[in-house]
Amino acid sequence: MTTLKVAEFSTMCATRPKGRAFYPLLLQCARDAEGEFAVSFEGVEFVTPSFLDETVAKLVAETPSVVHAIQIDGLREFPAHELAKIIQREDLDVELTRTGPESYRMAALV
Amino acid sequence: MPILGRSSKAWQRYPMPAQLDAYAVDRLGALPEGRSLVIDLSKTKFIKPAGMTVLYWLVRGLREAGREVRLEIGSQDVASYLCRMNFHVPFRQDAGCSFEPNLQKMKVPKAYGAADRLMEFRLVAVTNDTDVTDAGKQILGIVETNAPAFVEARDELFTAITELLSNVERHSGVRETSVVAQSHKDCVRIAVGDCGRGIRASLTTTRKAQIESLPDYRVNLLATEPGVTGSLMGGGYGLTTIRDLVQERGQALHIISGSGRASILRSLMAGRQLQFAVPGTVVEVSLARG
Repeated sequence: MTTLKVAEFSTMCATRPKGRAFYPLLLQCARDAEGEFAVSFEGVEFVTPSFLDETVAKLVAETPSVVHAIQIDGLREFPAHELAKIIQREDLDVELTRTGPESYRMAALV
Repeated sequence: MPILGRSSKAWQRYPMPAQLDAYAVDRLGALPEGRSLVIDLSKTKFIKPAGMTVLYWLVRGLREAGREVRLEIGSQDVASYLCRMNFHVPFRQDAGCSFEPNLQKMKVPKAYGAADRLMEFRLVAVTNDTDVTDAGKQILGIVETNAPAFVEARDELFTAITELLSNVERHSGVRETSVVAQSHKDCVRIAVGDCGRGIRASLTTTRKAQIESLPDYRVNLLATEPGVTGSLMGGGYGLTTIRDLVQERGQALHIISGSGRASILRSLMAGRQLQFAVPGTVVEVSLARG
């Protein structure tokens, strides 16, 4: 499985503008992977819910034809917990499940 | 030129309460209209971050309006507190702003009690996304250095700080903010303030019909609802995330903007209309150790 290491982009994934700047890279990686792929936050110092909303949540919710599901690794509990809330609040057609310590799977529901 | 004489009648007094915290703004009266104002801290015994932030932007706003300001401090503890936090430093070149006692001449020991730590009062430029992230990291570093027990809550703290700074950058219309951090026993309080357009003006562009008939404190409460402060590009979850955080951890979020103070304590959401309008917005978040 292809893995995109977010730390190579930034170790401070803090804001919506930062997420928007990262999104094209994420989308391109998803297209190149041609199927399920992994996004790793290993080595990233901080990830905020806003950054996740602009990146992984948007990717799966808006482009299910490109990527139906992604594996998210190295994501600590607080941002994952808040991401789950944003998914509920925005009523996104995605599902976030925990697959292991700091590991999650996000899949499109359509 | 030295002042040889000055009529005390020209100075109007604006008394501050014994505890200058988020709730203190409820008891502050309308600002006197005279040119020279004494901010009377003679009865003030304790200042929390929200109180210090309101005080700073109040003085700053008065000075920018060309009014002369004198802060009269009664308690030695409060004078020491303000001095250690370098509250007076932004005004040191300003002849129209004075402190009694003179904080610039005070010699204050750096050591203080471990249970009630003063951390930082600083002005931060928030001109772009990088400023927000850098400032967030710096403030978090200060908190972790002074209150190491909060290291385990660093994700929550960092998110809260950067969301507050990001709100100033995105919504206030100004490019400067103040941050005050303080720890008290098992709690860290962080207040972020600005002299921008305030929450009502910010929401007017997207929620005009919804907020038109609401008093300011209700508008401030509304800003914590999911998506309310978001733009067409999405978002608007920053204050909601912080609200959830304080509710889950049993702490508090105070939002003071315009003539309203909104407070969220556990499941309780309440507010009060004020007799005066604060310049800009002040938000204080309290977080307990995990």
